[in-house]
Amino acid sequence: MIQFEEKILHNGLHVIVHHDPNVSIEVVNVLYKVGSADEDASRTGFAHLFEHLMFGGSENIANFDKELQKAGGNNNAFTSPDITNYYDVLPVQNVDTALWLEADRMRNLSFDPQVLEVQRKVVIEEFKQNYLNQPYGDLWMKFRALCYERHPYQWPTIGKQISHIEEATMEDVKSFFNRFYHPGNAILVLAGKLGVEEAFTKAERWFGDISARDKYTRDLPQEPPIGTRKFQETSAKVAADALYMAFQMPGKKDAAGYASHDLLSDVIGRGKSSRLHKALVREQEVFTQIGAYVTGSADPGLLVIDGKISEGVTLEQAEQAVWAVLGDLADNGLAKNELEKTKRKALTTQEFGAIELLNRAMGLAEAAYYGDTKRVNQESEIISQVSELEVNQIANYLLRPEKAAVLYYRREHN
Amino acid sequence: MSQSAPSIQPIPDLNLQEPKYGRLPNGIEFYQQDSPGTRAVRLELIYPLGDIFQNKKGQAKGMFQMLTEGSKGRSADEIADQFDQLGAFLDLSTDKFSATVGIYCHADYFIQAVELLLDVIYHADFPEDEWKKMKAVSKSKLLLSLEKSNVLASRQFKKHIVGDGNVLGQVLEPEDYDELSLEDIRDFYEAQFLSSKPKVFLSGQGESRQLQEWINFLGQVSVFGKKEHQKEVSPDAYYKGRLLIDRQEGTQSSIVMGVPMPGIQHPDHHDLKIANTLFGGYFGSRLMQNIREEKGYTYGISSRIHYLQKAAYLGIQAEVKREFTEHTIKEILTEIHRLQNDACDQEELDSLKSYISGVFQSQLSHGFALMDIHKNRILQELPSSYFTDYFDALRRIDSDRLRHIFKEYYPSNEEEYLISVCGGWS
Repeated sequence: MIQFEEKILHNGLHVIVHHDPNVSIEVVNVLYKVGSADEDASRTGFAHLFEHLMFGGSENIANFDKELQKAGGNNNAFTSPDITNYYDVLPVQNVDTALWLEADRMRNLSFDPQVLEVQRKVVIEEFKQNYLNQPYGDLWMKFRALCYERHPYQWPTIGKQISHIEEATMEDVKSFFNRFYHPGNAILVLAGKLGVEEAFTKAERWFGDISARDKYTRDLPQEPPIGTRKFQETSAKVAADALYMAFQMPGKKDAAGYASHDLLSDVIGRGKSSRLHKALVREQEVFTQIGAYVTGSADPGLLVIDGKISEGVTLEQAEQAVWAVLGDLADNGLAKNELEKTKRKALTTQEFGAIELLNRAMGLAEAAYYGDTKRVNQESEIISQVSELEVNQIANYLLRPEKAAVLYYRREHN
Repeated sequence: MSQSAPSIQPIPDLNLQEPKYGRLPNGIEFYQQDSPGTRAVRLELIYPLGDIFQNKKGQAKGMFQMLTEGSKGRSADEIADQFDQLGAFLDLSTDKFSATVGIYCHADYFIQAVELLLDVIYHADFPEDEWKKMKAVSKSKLLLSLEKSNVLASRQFKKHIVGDGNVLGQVLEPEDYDELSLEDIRDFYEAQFLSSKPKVFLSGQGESRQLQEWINFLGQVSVFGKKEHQKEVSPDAYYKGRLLIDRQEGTQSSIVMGVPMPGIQHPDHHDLKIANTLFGGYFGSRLMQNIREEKGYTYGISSRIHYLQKAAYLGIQAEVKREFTEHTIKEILTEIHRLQNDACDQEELDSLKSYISGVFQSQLSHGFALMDIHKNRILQELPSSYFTDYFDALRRIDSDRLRHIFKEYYPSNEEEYLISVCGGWS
C-alpha cells in the first residue's frame, strides 16, 4: 500500500505527496502531459528533443545538472507517446534545490540557440545509435506505421525521420513550451523522507506563483479496430528472420480491460511455461525465442508477439505455427490453473516493482495522469479480479487472423 | 517572480547498515537484510565457481543454465510450470569468478519455492534433448548479439586488454557451442558444483516469525557441498595499439579504449575511483561535457574501471558519429592531459564530492540495494571498512592529489592504449 495525499494548487498544478520514513532521500518527479502523440505529423520527434532542451538552462539557472549535482542529486527523464517525465533524486536536506530547479524551468526556459544546436546533434546520434545502428533497430518505425494508420502512435518517440529533428526551429521550441509546459499540464510528486505537510508547504512555496496558462485538451484521432489482416515485409542484414504480430487492446485509461489483456499476453508469451515458448521453442523448435507483451499506452495499445525464427524455418511456416497455438487458446480457452499462475507471477512483479522509491513516485504520477491516483494501490486487486471467463472471451474474439497486424522482418544474406 | 537559489546543506554521513551475518548449523555463511514495507523476498546462492574453473569455454555457463532443465522426477516443462505456480522467478547467471542461483518470490511462497529450487538443482539430470535445444537457442542469441557494433568492439577489447588467450579475456564464439558436449556439462556438475559451498544472501521482508522459520529451514539444508573453491588468475601483458573491425554500413563507430589499472586492493583504489568519476563516471564528467554537451558527437560517453580479482583495467566507451572517431580519441587524450596539468577548480571538486555521496545515498533506498553493495564487497573479499574508507578518501582528496592520480595511472599518449573500434576511423 502506497500512502499518499494530493492537492491541486490554484494554478492547476497537481501535487502528490508520499512519505516513506525508512529512507533519507527525496524523489521529485514532474510529469508533463505531453508525448510524441501530441506532435504534428510533419514535426515528429519534437517532444523528445524538447526533453533534452529542458536541461539546457532556464530563466534564472544556466545549467540544471550542475546545480543539482552540487546538492548531491542525480536526475533523468524520458519521453513516451503520452508523457514526458522528469525526476530528481537527492538527500532530503537539499530537496529545495530540486524544487527550485524544476520550478524555474516550468516558469520559463532560456531558449539558448547554442543549446538547440548541440542537442539537435546529440539526438541525431541517439537516433542512429538506437534505431539505425542496431539490428532490427528500425522495426518499431515500420511496425507502428502498420498498426496505426490514423492515431499519432504511428511514429516512435524519437521521430519518423532525422530531417524532422534537423528542421526544428527556436520558434517551434517556444510555442511547444507555451502550449505544454505549465502548471495545469503537470503533476508533481514528492516522495521520500519529507513529511506530508512540509512537502505541501514547499510545493506551494516554489510552484505556487507560476502563472497558469490555457489548458491543453488532448483530442487525438482514434484508431479504428483492425478488421482485416494488415501485412508488411521488410528486410535488413540481421542474424535471423523475425516475426512480429500485434492485436489492438484497451489503453491504460481502462484499467480492468488493460489488466485482462495484459494477463492474456502473459499466458501467451511470458516466460518458459507460457504457451508460445512451450510449443514453439521447446516442442517444435520453430523459434529460438518468442514472447508476448503489451505496449501500455493511454489510448488503445497493442498486444505484441515478437519472435526470432530458427534456421531452416520460413516466416510463413513460423506464422502458421503461431496461429495454431493462438487458435487453440481462442477455441478451447484456458487450462486449469493457467490464469491462477499467471496472476501470481504478475503479483510478484508488482511487489518487486514497488520496492524502489522512484518507481512508487512514478507510479503515483502515472495513476494521476490516468485520472485517479488511488489506482496505484488498486492494480493488485484489479489483477486478482480478472476472471477466466473474461480472458477466454477476449482470446476467442481477439486472437484471429483478421484482427492482426503482421510484419515479416527478413534476413538479407550477404 | 524569480526565486533565488536555496543554500546547499552538507550531506550527513550515511550510517551504513551491515547485513546480519551468521554461520548456519550446516556450516553455510548466511547474510540477511530486511527491507521494510515489502513482501518481496530474494534468496541468492552464490557459488565461487565461474569461468576460471572450466576446462572448456561455455562449460560453467552451460551447466548453470541447465540446472532447471530437468531433474529426477521432473521434466523441464514441469519445473518451469511449478515455479510459475508459485509466482517465482529464477536467476541463473555466471561470470568469470562466480555463479548465482537466485530466486525472487512473494514471502508467502518462500519455503515452497526454495524447497523446489534445491530439489531441482541438486537432482538435475541434464536430458540430452534439452541440452541440444539450449545449445541451439544460446548460439542463436549469441549470433544476434554479434550483429551489434558495440558488442563487437567490446569483445575485441576484452580479449586484448588481458593478453590474447588469457582466460580472463575469453569470450564465447558461436562454434564453441559445437565443441561443448553434455558430458562436459555433467563433469562440471559432478566434479565442481556438487562439492561447492555457496554463500547465502537473503533480502526482503517476512514477518519476524516467518523469517525465523526461513533461517531454520536454510540451516537444515544438507545438500550443499563443503568445498570452498579458490583460484587466482592474473592477466598477461596487454596489447598496445589500434584494432579495427571494419564496418562500412552504419554511420557510427563504437570505440572502447583503455589500459590496465591497479586492482581493488591497491592503496590508491579509492582515489582512483573518485578520479575516474570526474573523468567519465557521471553526466557532469569531463568526457560527457566535452564530447556530448559541447561537441554533440555522441549520445553518451563513459569511463569505467573493471575489476578482475587483484587486477583491473580502464574502459572508455562511446558510440560516435563515424567521421569524428579520430577526433574523439584525440579529445579523450586531451582531457587526460588537462587533468594531469591543470588544477581542478574548487567548485567542480565540491560538486563532484556532493554528487558522489548523494548518489550513493539515493541508490540505497531499500534493503535489496543495500544487500547488493555488501554482497559485492563480501565476494571481493574487501574489509567491512571499505565504504567508510571510501568516504574518508572522498573527504580528503584535493586537486593536487587528483592531478597526481591522473599522471600516475592515465597515460596521455595514444601509444600506451589499446584502442578497439568497430566501424571506421573516419
